[in-house]
Order: sequence, then C-alpha cells, then structure tokens
Amino acid sequence: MNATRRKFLAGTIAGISSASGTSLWPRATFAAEPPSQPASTAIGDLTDASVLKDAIDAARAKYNVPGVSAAVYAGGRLAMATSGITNVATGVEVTPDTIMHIGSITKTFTATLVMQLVDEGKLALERPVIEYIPDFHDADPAATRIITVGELLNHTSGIDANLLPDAGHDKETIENTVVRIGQAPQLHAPERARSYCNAGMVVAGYLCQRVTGKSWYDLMKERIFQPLGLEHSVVLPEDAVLYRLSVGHYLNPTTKAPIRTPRAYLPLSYAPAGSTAMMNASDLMTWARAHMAGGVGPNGKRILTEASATRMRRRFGNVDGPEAFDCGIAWLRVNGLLHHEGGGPGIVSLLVTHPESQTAIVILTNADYGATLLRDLVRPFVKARLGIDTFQDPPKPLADATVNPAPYVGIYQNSSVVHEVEAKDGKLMWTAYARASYDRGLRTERLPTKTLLPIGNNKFLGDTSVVGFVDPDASGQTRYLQGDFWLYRRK
Amino acid sequence: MDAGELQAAVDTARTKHGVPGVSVALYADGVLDLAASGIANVTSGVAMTTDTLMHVGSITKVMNCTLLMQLVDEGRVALERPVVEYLPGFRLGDAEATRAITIEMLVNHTSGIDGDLLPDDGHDGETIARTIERFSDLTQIHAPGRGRSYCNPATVVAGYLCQRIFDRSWYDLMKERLFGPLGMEHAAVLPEDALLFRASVGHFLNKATGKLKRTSHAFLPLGYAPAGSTAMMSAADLMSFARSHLADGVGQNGVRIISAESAARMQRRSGPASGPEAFECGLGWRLAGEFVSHGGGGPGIVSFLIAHPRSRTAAAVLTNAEHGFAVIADVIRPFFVARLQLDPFPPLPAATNEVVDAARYVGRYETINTVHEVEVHDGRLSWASYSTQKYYDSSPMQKPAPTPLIAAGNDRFLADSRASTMPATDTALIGFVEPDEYGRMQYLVENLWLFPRRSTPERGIST
Repeated sequence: MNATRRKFLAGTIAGISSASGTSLWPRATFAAEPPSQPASTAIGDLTDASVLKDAIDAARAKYNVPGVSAAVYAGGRLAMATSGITNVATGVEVTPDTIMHIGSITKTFTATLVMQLVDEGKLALERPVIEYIPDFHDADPAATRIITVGELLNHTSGIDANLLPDAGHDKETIENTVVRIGQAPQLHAPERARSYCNAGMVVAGYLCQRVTGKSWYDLMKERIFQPLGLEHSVVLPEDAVLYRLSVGHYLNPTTKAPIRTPRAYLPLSYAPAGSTAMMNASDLMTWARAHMAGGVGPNGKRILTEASATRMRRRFGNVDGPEAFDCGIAWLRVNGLLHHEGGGPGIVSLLVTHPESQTAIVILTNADYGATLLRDLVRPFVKARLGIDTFQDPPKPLADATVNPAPYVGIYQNSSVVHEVEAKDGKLMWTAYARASYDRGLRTERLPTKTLLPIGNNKFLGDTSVVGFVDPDASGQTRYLQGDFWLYRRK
Repeated sequence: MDAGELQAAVDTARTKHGVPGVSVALYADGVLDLAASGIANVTSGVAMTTDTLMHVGSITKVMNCTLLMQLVDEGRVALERPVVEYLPGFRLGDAEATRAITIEMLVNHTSGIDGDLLPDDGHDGETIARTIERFSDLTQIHAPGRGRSYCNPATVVAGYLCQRIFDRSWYDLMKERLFGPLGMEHAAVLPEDALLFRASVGHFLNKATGKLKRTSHAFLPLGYAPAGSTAMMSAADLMSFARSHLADGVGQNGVRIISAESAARMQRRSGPASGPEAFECGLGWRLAGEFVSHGGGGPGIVSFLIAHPRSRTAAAVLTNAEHGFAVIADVIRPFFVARLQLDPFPPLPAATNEVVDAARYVGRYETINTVHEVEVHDGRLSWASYSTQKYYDSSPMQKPAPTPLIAAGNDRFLADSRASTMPATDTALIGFVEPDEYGRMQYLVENLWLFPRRSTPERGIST
C-alpha cells in the first residue's frame, strides 16, 4: 500500500467507505489515528487571531487542504481565522463569512430541537417513538414497540441504516426516508449496544417535524439559528447558494492535487443527521458557547433549559452490551470533553468543547483528508490548555504476535460495510468492503486484505486501522467487530 | 465587435443600470464572443466570470420542450394526443379540460390552466410529482386550445410527463439528455449541484435608497423546476444549447439531441385553434417576427435568449437583478441592429389620445395570483394591478394607487409600469381583447398573460 493510499484511508475503518466514495460521517479523530507529528509540538496561543491564522495557514499548506475556517474560545477570548480557497474549481477565497459543511455536528442541533420539545413537555425521552409517530415502523416489530426517543439520540436504537442510497432530489424527503429506514433490520436490540446510528438521528428530526407540524429545516432556522443570531448558517442547499460557500475535495492519488467533489451533499433526506447543514466557524462557535453556558447564547437568548443542556452532556442510556464510544445526548464524550466530528463528500469538521473551563475549538475543512490537520491543531491546543491528551499515539503491535484466531474468525457487517476475518498460515487476515453505497454506481470493491496484528485486549492493528472484537458468546466467539464508532454484527 | 469592445459595452450597460452581475454570449458568423461583468452576489463580493452559473429561469422551458420532443422523436408520445392518455392520474379542477388538454398544449401555452405559480411547499415537500397533485384544484383561464396565455403549470406537467415516460427524474433527464450530450459543463438543475460552481444569485433594487439587496430566496418553488425555477448555467453553455437549435438539432460538438424535423417544428407557430393570444409561440420558443426567443425570471434575476435562425445568429444575456432587462436590451438591441438591421425589441405604440368608451374596459380581471382593476379614477380610465400570492421578498399585496391608461389604439393602452406586478420595462402595454355582445372586453392582456374578466360594475360608466 503506498503512502497516498494510506493517507486516503486515514487509518480508520470509516476510511473504507471513503475509498468507495461513501464517506461516513464521524471520523475517529479521538480514537485511532496515528498523529503525523509528536503530541508535544509547541503551538502558540490560539486565542490570538494572528497565531491561529498562522497555525491554520501552516497546517493547510502542509496537508494541501484547500480551505480552512477556525474559531477558538478560551479564557473569555474569541479568535477566528480562515485560510485558503472554497473550491479548487473556482478559486474563490474562504472568508470569515464563508459557510462550510459541518456534517454530523448537526446531530447536536437535532438533539437540541428534541430537548426543546422535552422542555415544552411535548416529548419525553423515555417514551417509545411509536407513541408520537403511530405509523413508525421498524422491520423488527419488537424494536418498533420499544425504541425510545432517547435511544434515537444516544446511538443505542440499533436501527441498521447507516446511510440509504440517495433517492434523488425529487424523492429525497425526510418523511419518505423514515419509511425506508423502517424497512431496515436491527444491528442490535435497542439499548443492547451502542453503535453510531445516523438513522436514529433522522427519525429524531422527523419526530420534531411530526410533533410541531413544521419541517425540520424550518425548526432549525426558527428555533436555533434565529434566536442565537446565526446569520451564516443554513440547512437548505437552495439557501446555501446565497452565501459564499465551500464544497468538499478529495486528493487525486496520482497528481496529489485536491479535486472538487462531484456532489456537494450526502443524501438530503439525512439532513437531521447532518447531510446539509453549513455554517461559518464563528456561528458554530456561538452554538458551542450556548451549550457551554447551559443553553443561553452569547446574545442572552435561551434556547434550552439549563437542566436539558446539562442532561445532554451527561452519559446517557443504560447500555448492557458493547459500546463503540461514550455518549451523552448527541454529544460524544471523552475525558471531560464533549465533541462531535462531521464528514461529508470531501469534508471533515470538528467541534470540541470543555464546558468546565468554557473552552472550545471549531475547525472546518473542505478536504476529505483533513483529519490529520484537525488533529495537528486540536491536540496541542487541548493538551496545553486543559492538560488532556485524547489523541492516542499509533498503537504498537505486541512483541508476541501469536493469535488464536478462533474467537474472531467470521464475517461481520452492518448496512454499509462487510468485514471478513479469516485465519491463514497462523495469521488473522482482514478484508473489508462497502456493501452499499449512497450513490448509484459507486464502486464497492474490496479493499486489500490486511494482516491483523494484536495490540492486546482483543484489539488488532490492520495496517493503520484499529479493529476490535467485543461481546464474546458462551463459546468465546465475539459477536461484534468494532471499527471506529461502529459495531458490525457477526453474520 | 471584438472581445474588448464587447467587454466594454457590457461593463458600461451594467454600470449604467446598476446591475450587480452580467454574463453575455453572442454568436454570429460562426464566432462566439463571451463577456462577464461585475459580481455574482453583493453580500459575498465574488466576481463574475464567464464560468459563473446564473439563473436562466424560464428559458428552461425551451430545454424542457426539447426533452419532450425527444420523446416525440422516439415515438413515445404524440403531440396531438391527450395528456391523460399518458398520465391517467392527471387531474385538474376542470374535468372537461383535463380530458381535452393535449401534449402540444403543454408547450405552446394554450392549455388554459390557471396556476401561474403555487405557494412554495417547502424544501421537504416540494417535489415535481407532489406539485402535479396540487394542480388538481386549478381552474381554467380559457378552454384548452382556445387562447394563449403564458402557462407555467403546463410546462411542469410536460416535465413530469418526461419523468414518467423516461422513468428518470426530470433533473437526471436534463443532465443526461441535454447537458451531457451538448458538453454543457457549467450547467446545473439541482440547487445542490449549483453549489459546486461559482454561482450568482438574484438582487433587488431598493428604489428609495438605490441600494442593491440580495434576494432572500435563490429559487422559485423547486417543484416548478421544469418551468424554470432551478436551472443555472453560464451564458456560454446556454449558447451551446441555442446553437443546437440553430443547427437542426445538432450541437456544436456534432451530437444530435433532437431530429431536424422536431427542431423546425419547435420554431413554427403552434396553436391555438381560436381565441385570444397574448403572444405568438411555437413549441417552447416564443416567436416574434424572424426571431425565436425566451426570457427568464426568478427571485431578483432576468435572463434572455434570442436567436435569428435564418442567419444563425443568437444572443444570451443573463443578469442577476430584477431590473436587469435594461442591460439585456442595451446589449442585444445594437447586436441585432448592426448585424441584421432588425430590432428585436420594437418600440411600444405611440399614444393616440383618442377618446375611448371606458365601459368596454372597466372591470376586474383576475387569475390565480394577480388582479387587475380597471376603473374610472379622477375622471380617467385607470388601472391598478396587484398580486394575491405572497412571493418571498417581492410582490405587492396591497392595491396600488391606480395609474392612468393612455390610449394607444386598437384597445391598447400605455401605463406607468410601477402599477404592474411584473414590470419588464418602465412603461406597460395593457391590451383588451374579446368583446362580448355588449362590447365589454373579456380579457386584459399584459405582457404574455391573459387575465379573464371576473366582474363587471353593475352600472354603466361613461366618461
């Protein structure tokens, strides 16, 4: 595997889908990506706008990312900076007003809409979804009856519809998609496990539509963007056209030059999970500050009760099985940080907050390969400011690489990706491929087979990706393969 | 005119009329000239380039009609057959009209369907198929084939028909059957595709302050896409499309998109069998003298494509301002006058100052979204027009102060266009046609529309 290919895959299983064009949303910025530089690399005070500007200019140039927009908030100081261009095909510059994809960070917004309705007594997190959407239907009747509102927001519903194929502009409505999601099987029984679940967030957004009688798009505008004064935030493609905007890029493996994505969005009907939202870094920081302040924006407008804002941050749900990550209500949790990543066609974005110290950083990029740039900027900042190093150095294979393959061998899958794990010449071999792609006609070829080298605790290194095996049954065979934020069920 | 002169002329016209951005493509004697001027968006300040996508608006209808003619060429639809034969579920408010409307009437503006534009159903509900369902309430301006009034909904039905028969979305058809074959690489019909390009959006002029304001909405309702709510492209790509129609259906790259017979048929007068006509029309194309043309509008945009098939000469001018027509005229008029000694925008008739019988005209004329009130005001025959549908930033809902109608002969009148809901030029030409047995006009004609009389004052009025 050549270096370009490795970078393209970015060390994550999510990368599998990137390779076939189906970039999955969250990137394992916090989990398993090998840093490109030591964690100790000095970085100046990013709350100084000129330092931030120099930092993103340098990082952008280093990784050949076309455009970056960043905002940092710490010690009551706010800094913003932008760098580069919005689109290699147009050459238009990124400015502070430029809107960029935030991808799955949108999930924190959708969950906030739900919590507003909880505050208003119109929804209860512990109640079944079917109580509010009587026609809600899951392929598994048992799951249909018991999936709760809360389980849509903490990735424990088990609905296995990571992304559905794009139905086309004229059919791609949230309502139609909820029906299609209803035909999806369960990856696990509700609350039996936690695996990143886009479909749950789509159903949550639809739930808000049903309860209020307004479209999710209008709710986002009326209940969040307007109250918080977010004037460079949009959820509709047709609104995005009104702004200076950025679109995604991939790296051409041959020329090493960024190429513009052929499509600006993931399927539109997945909007509540993050396919359409775009904003500037400043607006996203305002959003982060509203949450860190217990539901009150910097403009003094309350969008959420303090109790709900707090509840969103706390670990949420009683999962009695494997968990691919820790989670509150939409917020992903690690070491006292609340964060969310976003992906899309050729974009990577990141929001990290530390409410305890009222510190936050936002970085939006328009490159599929922007994850290393994010980490280079965020890791030293978080470490210096908060003394927290959430990013792991690349795991090292154990000296004794002897493996008993029996517990692991098998085929694991979810709606998007299949993993084949087999034993060969005393080694554990791993092959993955995307089984479905959101775009008609995209490649779903198998990735090269890799040797899994043990790193301990039922985890393995396959090239740069970390693959875990969890939830052994009575015979010792693991029920799930874990890669990044996803669980894949043994077939 | 060389490239520098064209650029200077476009810059001058744009500056003179206070339009933010303009893109021009002129084609004559086998030579293509391009120019772009100004900015794509006053809030972003992004400069216009010849690659920039701009709204083409209703010019889309000519493309939509071309898709339909592809079906005709393939023998899959016949222009004279009723729409319900191909779309059994198609319903309008008028059952008889539903049965009588033919495919041809969808693209020559003689269907009579009164549904200019419906309120935006919102992104998540605004699909072409759902828009067709909403047409089931629409009434008629005139019986099918018994008049000609510019008809957006009929062209939406034509697009939907293509969607159904080709079994591909209209958006895909536009890409796969027109943009792709003609090599139009700076053209988009989906808002989410427009994002991938340098794209322009509309602007309105605040007449009081002289300031330009970017539109709050980039598009008219998306469900009306086949009528022209979403299509954006460079002037150069629009010219590529036009050139295929000037070359018997074959693009400049040698790819045929429709038969020569269909291309010719689109440029020949089509319908109506009888009744009043607000304008002359082929299939898709508007006809005027030796010219075929189509204009386009949208939130804060005006665009125009005009061709002179006999000499294979054409001009495309796209602007991003509601008041952009002045720039269009400034660029296009001298081009054709110099080349062909033909003025594609003939002047309005002169005032005749004749004495007219007001009783023939006074009344209320109305369609689904527009009211024209003709009354005697301060002793003069006067006119006021207002919209009954709210559309985004524009469209006055209140009845404006009536403006005098100045007689210009043949039941036509000149008026200050500020009283119009669709001011194309400073002066509006208001016509009246189809007198009843009492001599009362049954239709008011403004621009490309017929407005049927809906009420008559009880007492006769004379001046």
